[in-house]
Amino acid sequence: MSIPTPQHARELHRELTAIWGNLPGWGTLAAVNHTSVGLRFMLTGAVFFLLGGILAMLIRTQLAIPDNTLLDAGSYNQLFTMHGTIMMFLFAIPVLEGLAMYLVPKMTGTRDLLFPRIGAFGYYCYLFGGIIIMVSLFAGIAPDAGWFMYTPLSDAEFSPGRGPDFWLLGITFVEISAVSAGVELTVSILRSRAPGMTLTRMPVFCWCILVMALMIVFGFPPLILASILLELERAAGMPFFTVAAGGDPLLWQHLFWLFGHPEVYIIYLPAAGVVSTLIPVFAQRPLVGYGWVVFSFLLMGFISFALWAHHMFTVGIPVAAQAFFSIASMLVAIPTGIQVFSWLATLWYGRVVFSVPMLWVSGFLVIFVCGGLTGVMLALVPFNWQVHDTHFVVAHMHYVLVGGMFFPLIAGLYYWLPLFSGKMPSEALGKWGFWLTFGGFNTTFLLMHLTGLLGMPRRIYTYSSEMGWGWLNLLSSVGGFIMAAGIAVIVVDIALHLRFGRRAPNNPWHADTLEWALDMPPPPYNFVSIPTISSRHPLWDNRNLAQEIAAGQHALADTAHGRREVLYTRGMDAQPQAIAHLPGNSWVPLQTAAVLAVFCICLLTRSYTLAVAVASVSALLLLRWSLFNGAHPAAAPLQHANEADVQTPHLTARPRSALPLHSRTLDGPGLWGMKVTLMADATLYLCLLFAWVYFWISPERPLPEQMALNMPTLLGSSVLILLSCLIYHNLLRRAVAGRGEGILLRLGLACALLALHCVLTLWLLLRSPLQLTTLTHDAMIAFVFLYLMFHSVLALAATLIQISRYRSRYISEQLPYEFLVLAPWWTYTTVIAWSVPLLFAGLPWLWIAS
Amino acid sequence: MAVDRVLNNHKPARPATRHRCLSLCCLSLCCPLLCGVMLLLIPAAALAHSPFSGTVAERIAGSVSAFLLLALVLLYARGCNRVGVRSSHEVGFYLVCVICAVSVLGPLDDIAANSTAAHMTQHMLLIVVIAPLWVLTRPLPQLVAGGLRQLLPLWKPLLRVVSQPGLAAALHGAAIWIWHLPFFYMLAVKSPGWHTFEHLCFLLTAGLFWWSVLRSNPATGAQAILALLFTLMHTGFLGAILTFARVPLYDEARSLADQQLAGLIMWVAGALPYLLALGWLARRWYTHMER
Repeated sequence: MSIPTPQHARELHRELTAIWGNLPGWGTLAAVNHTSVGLRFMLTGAVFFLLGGILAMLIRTQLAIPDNTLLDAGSYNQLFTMHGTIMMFLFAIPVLEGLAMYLVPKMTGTRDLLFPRIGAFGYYCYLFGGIIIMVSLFAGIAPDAGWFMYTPLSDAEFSPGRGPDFWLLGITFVEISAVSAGVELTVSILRSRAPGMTLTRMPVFCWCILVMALMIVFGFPPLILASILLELERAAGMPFFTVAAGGDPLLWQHLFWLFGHPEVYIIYLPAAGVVSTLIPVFAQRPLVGYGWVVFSFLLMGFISFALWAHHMFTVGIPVAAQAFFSIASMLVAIPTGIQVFSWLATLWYGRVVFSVPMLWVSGFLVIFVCGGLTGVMLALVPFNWQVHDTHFVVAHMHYVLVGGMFFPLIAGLYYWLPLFSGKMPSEALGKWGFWLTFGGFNTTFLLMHLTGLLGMPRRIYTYSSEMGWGWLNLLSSVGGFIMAAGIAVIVVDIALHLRFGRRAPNNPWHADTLEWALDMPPPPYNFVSIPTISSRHPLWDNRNLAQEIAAGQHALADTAHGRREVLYTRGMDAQPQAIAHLPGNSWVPLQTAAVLAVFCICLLTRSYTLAVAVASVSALLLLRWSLFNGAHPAAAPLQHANEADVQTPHLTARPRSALPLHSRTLDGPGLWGMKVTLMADATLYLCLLFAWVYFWISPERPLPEQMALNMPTLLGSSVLILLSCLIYHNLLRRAVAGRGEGILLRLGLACALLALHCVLTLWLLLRSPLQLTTLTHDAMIAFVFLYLMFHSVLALAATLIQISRYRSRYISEQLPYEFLVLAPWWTYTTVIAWSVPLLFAGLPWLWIAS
Repeated sequence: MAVDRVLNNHKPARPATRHRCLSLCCLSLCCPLLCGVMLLLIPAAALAHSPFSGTVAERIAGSVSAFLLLALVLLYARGCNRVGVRSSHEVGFYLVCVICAVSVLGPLDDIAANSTAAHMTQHMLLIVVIAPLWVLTRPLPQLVAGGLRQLLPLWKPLLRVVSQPGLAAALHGAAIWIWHLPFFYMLAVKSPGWHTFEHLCFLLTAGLFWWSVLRSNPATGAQAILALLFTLMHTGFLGAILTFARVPLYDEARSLADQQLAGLIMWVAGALPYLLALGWLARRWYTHMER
């Protein structure tokens, strides 16, 4: 290799920026680059945080003195509901996702996440969903049933206004964004790391994000399902949670906490990742027990799915259940214990530098451990009963969430600020900000434990002076305003540093991870060339790595093709397998999200005919999205004839320079994205089955006079889809084997049979005498049919697109990759189509027969 | 391919004399224990489903269970004589046989006729204690050498299942859910023959599931973790269903508290082995990657 000159490096920088940069002016809205999208997530989250903080200040002002008349009960209900909703759904999760999207590719040594358009789409969904929710607040019709929207309070009878609709639709919109980010992060972390960065050499932050992303994939579907069911109940009168029709309000709580318990760890894990990244850097030694810490993150993820009932001790669950879950709750102490002791040991062995980020980490350790201890208290059933729904719970929750999420987040913010902006913030202001926040927080919430023990309930808008809670509340309010002042100082510090901050030196904290090898602020392509990694601490091992990367001495420094390229590597050992070519700037994510927002607004205003029209437009946009892939001229057109031969890198040993493009192989990001998405989908279906069986165990469940479904027709339509699925798999095998004849015929046949299945299913649904608004049983049957129809119609549409793409030769027996991507969807849809007659028609028969 | 791997998966035999001594010791310990358990059951005339008491159907069912278990022990003992075995594995295998005999033929079986909680304890013993422990003692080479080789065509398809943790988990899940539907559950409670068949279903599918999971290789490690997580979730759902049901699902005469306890045994106590296995698997997978 010739010795690179500074001029050569500048040339590379110019060419890569031309390929990876955002469009100028308004075109920046079409950006799909993870750096831009991640920053937007974080900035939007910060704005929502400030709004949520203002609500908190209003709450504290109202409670500062007894018999206060500043707010009436109705406004107060809206305020605490919105405060919780904003902080949980519009601040905590999106900001952490944004941080992850921004940092993960930089830490794993790649140029972008693998599904850039999904990232941008997720951002716009979040933005529009958040705006929809906020609008309700400013219009004075905000949700007021608490951030967990318990039924029956939130159903159409007891909340006749539009408040819960805003919550349900807005939050579902934001959740779609969260799940898409979860899928994107999972696949990106597993399949696009720098060569040699095996899973055991991965920065511990990326491990946390991997576990978080997987938990989002499995944890969010229950709430998405619950929200859809409740919205259907409110809007269409389908009684899923109404007792008279056979529903059960407790089902909502089960589904909510099935999401809500993992959610606590979804918020905590990235924060723990920040702490595990910062502590070794400020102690200047590797993390003690890296393997055990990673293990504890995994264990935490597993345990969190088994414990949801301990949020429901006072809703009337059996006494035995309370005892069991009280004991099982103690399990969480094992993984958290491993983490805390590993952090302490790292600090113990190192020489700790108490910079501003380290101060916030120390604050985290103190507050989070206290919150954990009150958590142990709350896991004890008698104590739980005593303090249930008092301010003790509020204090505990804030210790865990502010301590476990906000403090590490600000620590991370100060730590990565030089990377974001290239400038250093003020040390003095930073310390003021910390001590004000820390002092204010503890004044507010330490005292609030006592307020709760003295019996003050949550969610009351005022109290009389005889109760004796006045002085505690006043002090809590004063503390709240001190904390607000601390946050104001942080905001001022960050605003000022952009203008007056001194230029940050390279790698200012002397850190070990790859993101510090970049220019500050980082260029849109991150790395000029992709280094090979041989340890957990690349920057401590090789002090010249940053210069080598910038000089283009490593992989992928070629720019002549003009494509956005990243390495597609093997999951475990990060051996390069292919080059993934990513889509560039695109307006489609913005358009799709905007149309979906209009769809939401249509539902909110109950103009359903318009909603159907808008939904079909959004479906068209989403399908158009998949056109610009693979060998499409806008993506990676075939350069020469023999390029089209399928290249399977695991079969032939080839030099890295000759890695094939992923769309020319049998494995690629899309296939993995499909699999992970189907895992989320299957979780939703499992929750639906749970709801179905849950219906059958309630003592008073009105049943229809006779089985509403025509079994032979149902089975017939299932046979049709099975046949079409077999045909699809047959053509897939042919395509992979390189036999072109008959593929088009089979595609057409599969589509025809599938279309017949769709028509038959629709006919069955329309013809059945289902009593949708009076029987939970029939409402559930109708819902599962809608679920099935959604899948089979989508499979049909995707296959029709494949026919057109096959005719344009963007896919063919030489390029069978896209057949492989769609195949899991076909299989899944067929399984669903068979489980409907078996479980939704067969189960009742068995139940009644006994 | 999978078959060959399994068949050849044993260590060369150790010196015959020492080995035979050990083997005989174990067998001589185990057989009296097994027989003791069965003898204990004789005087308790009220005990159902044992070979020595109850109605004719119950005696037949009990005898079939006892015969199958004894046949397994004898096959294994014969295999131990032919191929080498680690003594800890051998002792472990016999101990699990004793646990199995106690839980299938012992007093639990009798209480289970009227108590959902006892019945659930029996099921959970089979599913999350006996099956995984048997898998951990790696008895296959011995069983194959002891005479299973002749029956190869019968169990060859099962070996394919074992290489796919997802498929094994689906089979196992189907067995668990089907047998806990009120219709099939009551079928097993009322008929000793079906009850024995139910136990066989549980043991077989649980054995396949645990084998596929605990013996997963690094390539199927991630799939094994997902399969375990799936099983943890759906048994939790089933446990939750039993815990929160406000009517007795299986027999109207049974108390609700009994059914709730049954649900919790499956949901919480049953979750512990899965969590342990998840932790163990994650740890093993990690140490493998580190190498």
